[in-house]
Amino acid sequence: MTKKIKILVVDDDAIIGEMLKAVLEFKGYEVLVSGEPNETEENIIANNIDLVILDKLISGVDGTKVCSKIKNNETISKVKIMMMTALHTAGPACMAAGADAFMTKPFDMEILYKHVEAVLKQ
Amino acid sequence: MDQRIKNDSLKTLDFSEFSVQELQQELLAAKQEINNLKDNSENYKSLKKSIYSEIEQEIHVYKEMFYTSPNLMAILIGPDFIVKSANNSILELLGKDEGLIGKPYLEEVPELEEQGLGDLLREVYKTGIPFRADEMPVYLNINNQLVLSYYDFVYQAHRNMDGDICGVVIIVTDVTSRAKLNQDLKISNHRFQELVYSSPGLIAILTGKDFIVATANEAILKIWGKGSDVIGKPIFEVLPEIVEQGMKDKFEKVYASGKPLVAQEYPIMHEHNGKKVEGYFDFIYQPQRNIDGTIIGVAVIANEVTKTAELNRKIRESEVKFRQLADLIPDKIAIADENLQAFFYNKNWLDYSGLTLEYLLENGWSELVHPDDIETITKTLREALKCKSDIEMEHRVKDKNGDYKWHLARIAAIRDENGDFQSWVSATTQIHKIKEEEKRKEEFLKMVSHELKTPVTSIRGYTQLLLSMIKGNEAIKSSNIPLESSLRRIDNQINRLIRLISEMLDLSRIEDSQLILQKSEFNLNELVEHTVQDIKISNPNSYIKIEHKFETSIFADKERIEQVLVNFITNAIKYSPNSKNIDITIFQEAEGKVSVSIRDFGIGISNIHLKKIFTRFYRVDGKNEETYSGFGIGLFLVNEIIEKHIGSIKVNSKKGKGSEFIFTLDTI
Repeated sequence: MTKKIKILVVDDDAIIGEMLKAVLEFKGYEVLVSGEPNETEENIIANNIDLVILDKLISGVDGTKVCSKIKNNETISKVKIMMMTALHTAGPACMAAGADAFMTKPFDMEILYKHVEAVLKQ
Repeated sequence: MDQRIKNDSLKTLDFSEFSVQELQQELLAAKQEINNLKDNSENYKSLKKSIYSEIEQEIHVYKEMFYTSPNLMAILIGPDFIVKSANNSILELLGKDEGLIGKPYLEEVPELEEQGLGDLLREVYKTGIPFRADEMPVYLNINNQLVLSYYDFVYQAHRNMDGDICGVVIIVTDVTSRAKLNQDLKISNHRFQELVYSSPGLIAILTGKDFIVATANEAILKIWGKGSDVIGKPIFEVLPEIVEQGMKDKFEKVYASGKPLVAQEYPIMHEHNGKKVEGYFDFIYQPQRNIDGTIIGVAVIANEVTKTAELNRKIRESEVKFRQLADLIPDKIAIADENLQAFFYNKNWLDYSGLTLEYLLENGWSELVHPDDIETITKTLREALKCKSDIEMEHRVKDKNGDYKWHLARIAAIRDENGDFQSWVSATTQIHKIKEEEKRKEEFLKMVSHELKTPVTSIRGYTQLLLSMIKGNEAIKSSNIPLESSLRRIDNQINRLIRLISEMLDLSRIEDSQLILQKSEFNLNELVEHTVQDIKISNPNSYIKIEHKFETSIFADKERIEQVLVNFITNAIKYSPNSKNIDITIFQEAEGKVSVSIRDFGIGISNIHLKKIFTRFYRVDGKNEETYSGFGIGLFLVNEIIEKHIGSIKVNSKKGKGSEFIFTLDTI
């Protein structure tokens, strides 16, 4: 593998963060975990992130706002964003905020891999 | 009037009768005088001349009178009644000319014989007794048509100088117009009597200051409970009970003032079947005047309206009750005409809005609606007006403090028994607390789903990670530790838990009628493909075959339709422990529809269960509880979702042979 793809998981639940890190690292991705949604943009720039997996609700912060901020920031707008939500009905709001994909918790890991591969191919 | 005409005609008759006798007497006197003077002197000659000239003069006058008289006159001679003289009037009437003279009268006017007038003539000729008749009807043939007229008749014997009967003098007066008038009067009088007596209206005429009953029809006698013997008696003697009810004053007032008195639904105690009862009457007391305008009595014209009055009273009572009821109900009630212009608001509307009834009637309640809700409401109301169908809508209404509170308005179209539209009735209930409660519940649900799903997601992730890691690890496989089977069991249990959580959340939404569809246009065939791919990941041993017989897009809630597919497919897998084949077919059964069939070859469903599988918490018993787990709400949810989409579901199943579930939706 020439260059490892870097994924940033933003979730206030450390267990989910750690789980996703383990699962994705098993597939060969480099994974960073953050519980601070408001530092996402800085983290993307500082770590040269390819894909952000963003929870919709992180410590009271609306994930869709973080998403649209990234998508509106020219320097990092090309970074892929995958959102996670616990509610079926939240899907359209995520897509409207500019997310490249979204998954409803609790998702199957195979589906997670599929989505990650698909988004990175876009 | 009648009397006067009669007098005139009598005079005419007298005059004619007198004139004939006078003429005869004059002639006799002159003859006598001539006979007495038996000389041939100049005196005699001149006297004779003057007498003849006088007689000639006299005869001329009478001739003149005879021929020009408006009376019909003729002199008939002999037993054959040969016309000797006939005046112009009679000739004109009979349509004859001078040619009639010298001819037999009855032969010339044959219709008289048929009517018995010939016999009368012969009788007079025989006996010398004059025949007189008033207003005798006679048909005359005029222009070949029998015309009826009425005549006053005199047939009188005509005598010669010796006093012997030599003919008949006819003197007739046409009194047709008078007779007709009399007849009309009689008919009109008869009609009046008929009208009064047969009228269902109550009619009595009271005359004089004592109000003597002059006329009282059957209807009024029945109400009085009296017979016709009351005619001629003073009314207050007949009905003493009405004096104390103030009727005497009323009659006297009408009598004195000459002004009619009108009353409606006036209660009067009267006798009925020997009992005193209260009745209600519409009546008019009309002063009666004679020709010079003096008041001579009072006419009573009345209608019994007891039933109507009672009905009206009941209606009024019912309306009072309705108002009390409407005011008592905690809802806001309004009634409006077909254009939704309200004409009634109950007390709650006034209390809540702090507005007066007049203001609300004038301006309606639309200005109290929250600006954000106006558009939806206007649209809903416009639709309701068009279809005249019942509607329900939720909106915020401003209270007297200016705060908007959530309300549910139910507006029903009220129709009469023929189904014709009558009015709109609206009941508006404050649901603010319920709305707030719903919001809190929704928040809670969101929180619960988030909180529950997070740990479950991580357990699932780690389990699957471990399964992936030990895959192909021969050391673990060959050891006796049941690591892989345990992890698989954990994974299965996690999946079961996940399904239970999402079913529970969906169920609570449905119970709140909150299963709101978020419709969009999407390709159904693609959705089926994606869903099956996802399912294959967690069910790698199943062989799912998809056949696209028909390709279409639909306008529906994509997530929910996916949920339906997942439910049907996972059920098919779950209930087919020995067969891994599942056939999915997308096809078109009818124009504008698309159907998806999910067929398995598993255990099937027996007939007794088939009808119930879509009810909530219904579960077909299975041997292995672990295999067939769930709350029994999966198909209930599916059914709700398809119903919300106005679609349909069909099941074909045979125990031991497998099941086929088909759902059908509208295409675009």
